[in-house]
Amino acid sequence: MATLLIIIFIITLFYAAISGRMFTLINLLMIQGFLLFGVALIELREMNVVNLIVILVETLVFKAILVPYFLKRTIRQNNIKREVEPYISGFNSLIIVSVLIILSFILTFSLQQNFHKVIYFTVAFSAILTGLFLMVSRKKIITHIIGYIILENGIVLLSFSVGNEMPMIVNAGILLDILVSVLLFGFFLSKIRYISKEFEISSLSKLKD
Amino acid sequence: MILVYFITIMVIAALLMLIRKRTFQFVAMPAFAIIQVLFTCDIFVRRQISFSDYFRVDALGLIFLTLLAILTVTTIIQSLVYLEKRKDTPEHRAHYLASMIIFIGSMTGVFMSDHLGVLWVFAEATTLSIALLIYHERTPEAIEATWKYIFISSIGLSFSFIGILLLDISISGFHSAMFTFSDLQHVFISIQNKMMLQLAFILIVIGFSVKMGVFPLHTVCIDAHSVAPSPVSAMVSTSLMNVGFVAIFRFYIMLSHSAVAAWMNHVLMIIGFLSILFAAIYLVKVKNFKRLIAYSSIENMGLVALAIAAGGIAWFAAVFHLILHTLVKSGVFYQMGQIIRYYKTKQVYLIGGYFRVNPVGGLVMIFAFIILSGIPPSGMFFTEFMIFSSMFSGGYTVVAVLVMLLLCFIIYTLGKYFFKTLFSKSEQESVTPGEKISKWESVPQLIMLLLTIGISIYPPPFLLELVRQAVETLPK
Repeated sequence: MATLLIIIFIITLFYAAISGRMFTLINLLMIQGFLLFGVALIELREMNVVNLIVILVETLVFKAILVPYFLKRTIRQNNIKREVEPYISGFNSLIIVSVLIILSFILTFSLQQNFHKVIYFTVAFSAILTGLFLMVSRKKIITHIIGYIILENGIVLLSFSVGNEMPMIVNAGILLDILVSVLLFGFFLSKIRYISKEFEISSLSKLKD
Repeated sequence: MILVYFITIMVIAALLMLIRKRTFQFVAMPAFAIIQVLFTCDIFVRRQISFSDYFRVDALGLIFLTLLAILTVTTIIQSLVYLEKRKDTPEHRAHYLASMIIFIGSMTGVFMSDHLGVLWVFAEATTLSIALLIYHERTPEAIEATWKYIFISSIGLSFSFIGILLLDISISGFHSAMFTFSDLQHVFISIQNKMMLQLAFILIVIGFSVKMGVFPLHTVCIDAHSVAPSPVSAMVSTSLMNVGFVAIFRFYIMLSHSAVAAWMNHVLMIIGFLSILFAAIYLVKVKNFKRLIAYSSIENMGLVALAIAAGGIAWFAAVFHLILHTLVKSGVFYQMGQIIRYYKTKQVYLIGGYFRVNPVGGLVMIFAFIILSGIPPSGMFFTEFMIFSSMFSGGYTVVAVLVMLLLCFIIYTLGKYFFKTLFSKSEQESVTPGEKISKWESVPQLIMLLLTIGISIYPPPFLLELVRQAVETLPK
């Protein structure tokens, strides 16, 4: 069952690479949030109950509901154009993401650890690399935030594969930090309006030597 | 005690956001400074702490905690002066002061944390709380620098978190009681999966390089320096860099008995050398005075990275170097705030003749230059001497020689601009000088610099003992 969810997760990565609309990307984030919730529910059953509830609630509320809603609101409020505007075309992005997934397979197997959960590790690394790729290959700043969230989703998946041994208070702190950072990104994104109407990363190039 | 401390500072920060009266701010900030100092004294005397699963008091944390307490007092004084002169709106002042309190609190957390996850949480909290401080002047440059800093820093720290998770995976067979630095040090001796540890260490170093200001992600650190208010720059350049150092050094100590010890030294050697190289190259082009001093910080942090790699006596030198650097750099940045207030520009070519304007401030700059360039009686002469001698004996002769050449170049450039600022005729009659700077504002900085020279000439025995304890768990 968990494997099925993981496979759907990797399909969302492919979809993220080719999707041309901003809202599709955000809906993908929402789907990923629900998938992570499902994986946590199945995988972490043996964990301490209070800790498990904290993780489940935070995954569901933050990742699947709050963050996508917040991003959509930011897009509406700032009248950001709804197209993704990549530097690299959709087809080429698809090829690059496939290569990244193969690389994660190679990385996983070269680490020579006796994982019982090789697939988690691979998909987590694929998500991390795909998030980074989305950041460098898209013009809009909001797509960078989406890439960052995909990267964070990958990290959450990786922490599930470890069995998440962090104590509850640490988990809560980590998730809170990530939530606050996304909120701050949204806040400063709306401030970038004063520099450039286009919200493109090329407008942030004043500071240099 | 520690819980009380964190709750108190959260309450003070919340009150500052709610009550935006000027008088309240002038009461709350000194109160916070006193709390910080008392808390540090308490830890210094008792040497123990509650919540020992997550926090620990050791010599390394204690040194930087004490430095932070000193800086808290001076930075709050300078911040209040800065805010008074700028005549900001009450809202902006409240944001500034509340962020400053949370920022200092999270740095305190980093210095004391023993649990790997807790360290990460507090390190990320420093990133988030500094955002409004960098953004304070609300110029387009400030928005750009803030965006870059929080975004790159968050991504970098995500990398560090991946590294921490990889460490967690690599010890999955050897179940230890807690995921803390003190417990894990013995576990890693028996881990044979080298590639896992190597990947983990390199991700952790890349992540914390934002904080420490060394090679891969140092650029956002410099941008943050150049636009932030001067008291904040002083913090970024000293205590925040110490945060990065403490994080990296704790991981280094933890892994120093494992199979990858030699490999870690190579990584840090490359990072240190590249930091110094980039600092030297960019110093040629620099036109902004604050960026100039920021690059000097990068160079010093590069030296510290080299010192960790060289080992032996250089570990001692690294910590001592950071103590001196913290005291000197904060003084320079406070003075910088006064220079900028007088000339109303950060451009190095428009500033000149400062010694006649403010002789005490000029003296601060001269002392700072002497200390930074490592001319005796500066303690940096001794620390750099120890670092180089240990590099020679460690077989890094070529790197050491190249670094010495680069340092000569950096000292030449720094000297050129420092003395231009102080003594050259101000060629810009177009720049209307601002208000007169009071001499008394520079006196605390002068005291701080003289203290640095005092420590250099006669280091107090308890300080030497602390520094020795900080590095004693490393292999001989």
